[in-house]
Amino acid sequence: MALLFPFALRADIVVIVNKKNTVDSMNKSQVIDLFMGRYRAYSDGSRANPVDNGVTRLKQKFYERLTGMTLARVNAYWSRVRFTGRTRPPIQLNDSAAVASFVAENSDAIAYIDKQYLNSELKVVYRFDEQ
Amino acid sequence: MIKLPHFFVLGLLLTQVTNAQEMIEFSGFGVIGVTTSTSDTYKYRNDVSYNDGVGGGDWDLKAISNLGLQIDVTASDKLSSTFQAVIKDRTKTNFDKYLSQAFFKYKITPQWEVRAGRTPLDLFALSEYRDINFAYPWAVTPNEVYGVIPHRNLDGLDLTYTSRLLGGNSHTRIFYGKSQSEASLGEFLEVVKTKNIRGLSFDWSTLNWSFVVKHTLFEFSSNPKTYAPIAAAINNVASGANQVGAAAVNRGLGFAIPELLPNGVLWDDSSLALDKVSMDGKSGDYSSISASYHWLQFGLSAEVSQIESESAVMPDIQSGFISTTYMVGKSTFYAVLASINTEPETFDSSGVSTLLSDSNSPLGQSSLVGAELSEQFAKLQAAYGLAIQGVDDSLTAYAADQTTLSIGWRYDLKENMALKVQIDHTRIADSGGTLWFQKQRNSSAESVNTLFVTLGFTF
Repeated sequence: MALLFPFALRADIVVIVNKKNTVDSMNKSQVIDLFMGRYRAYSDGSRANPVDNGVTRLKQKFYERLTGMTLARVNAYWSRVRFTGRTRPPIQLNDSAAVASFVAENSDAIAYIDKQYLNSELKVVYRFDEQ
Repeated sequence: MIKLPHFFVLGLLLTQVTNAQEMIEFSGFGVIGVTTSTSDTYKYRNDVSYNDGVGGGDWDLKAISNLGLQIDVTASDKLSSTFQAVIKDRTKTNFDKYLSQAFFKYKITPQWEVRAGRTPLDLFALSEYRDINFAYPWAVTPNEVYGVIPHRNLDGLDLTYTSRLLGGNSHTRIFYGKSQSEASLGEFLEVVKTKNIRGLSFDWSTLNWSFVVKHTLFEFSSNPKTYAPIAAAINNVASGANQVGAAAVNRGLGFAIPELLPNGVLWDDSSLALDKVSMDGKSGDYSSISASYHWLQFGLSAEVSQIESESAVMPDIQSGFISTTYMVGKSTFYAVLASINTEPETFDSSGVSTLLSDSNSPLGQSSLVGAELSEQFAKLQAAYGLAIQGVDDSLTAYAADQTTLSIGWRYDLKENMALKVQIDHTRIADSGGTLWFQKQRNSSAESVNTLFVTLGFTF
């Protein structure tokens, strides 16, 4: 099974922020708000800059676990938000390494990565319960 | 033609492009849609701004196809601008008709933002994204609710407040501005201008629930093309009829024709009829309440809306739809029931003497009033009939009375591409087919079947 579904078994997704961020933990609805463009601020009122992970399977798994929606439905949602001029979807970087590097350099960034890419510049603020 | 404010926005966009700090994003959406419809009388059109339709079993690629291109420029954390053009089948095209958005957005705080320029017109729940096929489950938005509104954007400004509320998120927006569009409601393609648009929009949503309330006040700032000729006809007929009446009184016919008033007036207050067919300066409002709920694979959404207007040309319009969806994997099966009803006024003839309106009027009898007067009267009576026909045509310009049952299937081919197939069965009441393109107005009741096959995408 591990050979058939290597990614599903190995990917351990964590939501991360810069270690200088004053936020230490978030609940699921706060993460949804940030990544779905519903409310782009941390609990202290400061601006949040969400980042998408370009690894498709990781992105799929993240949004399915976060919202229960497929990427097509997430994109349909974003087409309503983006093309009506409300707000833009998160910027997207190629892989977990690039995402980790970006968050380490930007104190307002928030992203999701495979846990193996964690480093001392990052702080985990949300974990999915069933991982 | 690019109007000056939009040119200004575009110019500033290009200025920003040279700034190394900013971020420029290109994106877009579109739909390739094939439409066929069964009626020779009622030809399908996406909304009343279209001056053509598809019917008689023909297949059409233009009726619902479009392509939208968007440029977003982020100048700073707080300041950004958006520029969007939607290309679709238009009559007498110019750049301004394609320009759907061109605005600056300033994010005062994460909660407050203001936009100025051309923004989507936030009238009903789906108004802002009705052209974005990929955004909704159906092949087309319900025509009964959205087909009657030609306006799509607002030239003005809006202020939005975003907050967390009762476990969900809410957006409260106020907006002000003007809007211009076209409506093909008869033999003419009318330019419909509105000003002093003042709107309030509130939405609250979670991932499963959404609740939306909108109310917008507006004022017409143009008259239909038909207004001037109808007004001239009414003034001429009223003036001529009153002269004929006065001549009859002068000839001492008051005893022979008891209905003849002492002053000979046959059309007492023609200004009432003129007022009926005018729109300029008349106010109106749009209201809408909608809600949706998603639970597991099931979805349910509904909207009721109303348009009210002081102008009899646009009578009160009530419309609504209810839709249910069921998702299985990449497929979504759906059904929609939508309805629209209007209550058009008719010409009020209480100010018109029966001597003018009655086909057997004594004033038309040469043996009684003389050959010259009766001949003059006959011409006036014919002109009166045409004028009243013009008034009645104007009063039924927005007469829509129909119900549509739609069933369809959406299949997500890719993350950003969906194939949809939808069949509509529409029952149109007598003289209730304004939403359709017709060569002759006020046709009789008919049932029409329409098939849509669409490929919607974003990029």
